[in-house]
Parts: sequence; C-alpha cells; structure tokens
Amino acid sequence: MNKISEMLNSDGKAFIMMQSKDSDNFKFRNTFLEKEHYGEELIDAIKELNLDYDVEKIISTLNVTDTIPENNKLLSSGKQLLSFLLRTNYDNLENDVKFKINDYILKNSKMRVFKLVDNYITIKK
Amino acid sequence: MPTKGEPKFELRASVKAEKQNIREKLEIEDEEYLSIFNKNRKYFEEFLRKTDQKENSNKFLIEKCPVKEKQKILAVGAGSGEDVLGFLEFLKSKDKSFEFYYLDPSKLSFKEFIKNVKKFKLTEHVSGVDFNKFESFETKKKFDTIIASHVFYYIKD
Repeated sequence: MNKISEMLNSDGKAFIMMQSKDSDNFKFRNTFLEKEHYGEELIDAIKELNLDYDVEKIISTLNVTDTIPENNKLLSSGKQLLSFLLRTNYDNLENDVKFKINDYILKNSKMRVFKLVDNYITIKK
Repeated sequence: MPTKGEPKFELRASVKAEKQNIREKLEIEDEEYLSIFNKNRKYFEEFLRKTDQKENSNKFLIEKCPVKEKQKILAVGAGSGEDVLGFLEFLKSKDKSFEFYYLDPSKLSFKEFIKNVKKFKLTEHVSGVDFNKFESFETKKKFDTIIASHVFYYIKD
C-alpha cells in the first residue's frame, strides 16, 4: 500500500476494489479453494499504515442459474462459469467434488443469484 | 515521453500497437500458454455475461475519480480493461485530456485490451505499457489516479 501511496500526486487518489468476506463469491471460493484473500484484510493493513482512506461496500449480482444441472446435465456456460469461479477446469474435477459444488450452490444461492459484495477502497495522498 | 534513464513505460502503445502485427510484437509463441489463456478468457467472458460487477466498478470510478485536465491514470492489473474503459470513455466524452498507463504481466491480456481500446477509440490516450508484476514495477512518474480492481488477491505481501 505504501508503494501505491508513493506513486500518487499530492492530490492523487487510488481506487482499489476487492471482494468482501461477506460476498457469496468469497464464501464459495473459500469453501472449495485453499486460501482466499478479501478486502477487509487490506483495510486492516491500510489502517496499520495510517493512510487516509474511505471504504464503500457495493453489491453486484451474479446469475448462477446455469451452474445448476438440469436432468443431471450441466450447460457448457455453467461449466465455464464454475471454471472461472473455481479457477480450474470444472470438467477435470472428481464427481464427488462436483456433487458438493452443486449442493453448495443449491443451498446458498437465493433465486439462483450470488450476491457479490465488494469493498471499494479510496486511498488519498 | 519518458525521460532519459527513466525505467519502464518505454513503449508508446498507442502508436506502435496500431502499426505492428500484435502477435509478432508481443512475441506470443507458446501455443500451450495461448491455449490456456484462451480457455481462461472464455471462463471470464462467461462471468462478464452474468454479472453487473464491471458496470458497477465503472459507475463508481465515474462518480469518484477526479475529472480534470491532463491527469495521469495508472491501472494496476489492467487486464483486458473491462474495469476502466467505461471511465476512460467518460473522460473522453467530457473532452478531458488524459494519459493512461497500463500495468499487467500478461501480454495476451494486453492484446485483448488493445482490441477494446480501439473499439472505444481511446488508442491515443494509452501513453505507457509495462508488463512487470506490480511487485517489481518501478517508475518515477506520479499519478493522479491509480486503479486496482480485483487484483490484490494475486499480489504478494
């Protein structure tokens, strides 16, 4: 963060967007991936450095309908979206992992939508 | 233009990317890497089709970023530009001059970025390109605006 601050003009601003730990996307990734970083960690670091900052939480949506199989078949668009979210090729996953993913999305998506909660952090010089 | 001895940002992408065959210029020779990139790009495009996240990030930047003359803007992990192009187009619509500096280690993402920049007719504003990672990036320039959208998941402490 110091590096960012040093690169700013005297009245410059840096805008950093980073997912919140409250985001469905974060929770999903944190369930299936090893370690996932989130914006609140960065905010703690900014506070420690005594930088002048503001933060807003902005909510976006992600339609996950295609990630739910119909008649045990998943559309290619669903596989691609899951591959993006999991940062790996969905087709290469074991069947029991695929089952857990499917179960997770059914239980954790309201109206087949993930709520993406992002921290929009403004750092002032 | 960069001053003598100043590191990085040596490439005037706005001019050179227009004139050269981009594949040749970026020396993308590793077909396996290209195949992985293209697959990941498809995944990302599917995400873009199903979310309003990038629209929201552009709205935020339009609302919060300074609108002034001759500002220097650096995008860290600029990728293919979805997070910033709406904002840059907004500045252009306000007839504000600005210099945009691209920082991202992926030359293939830059190729996508240039396609988008051409589409938005923003080529002349791209003033510098650097393929370093943020950790190893060095510059003497000072920026009015620095944008880092969903990139700090990948940057080491």
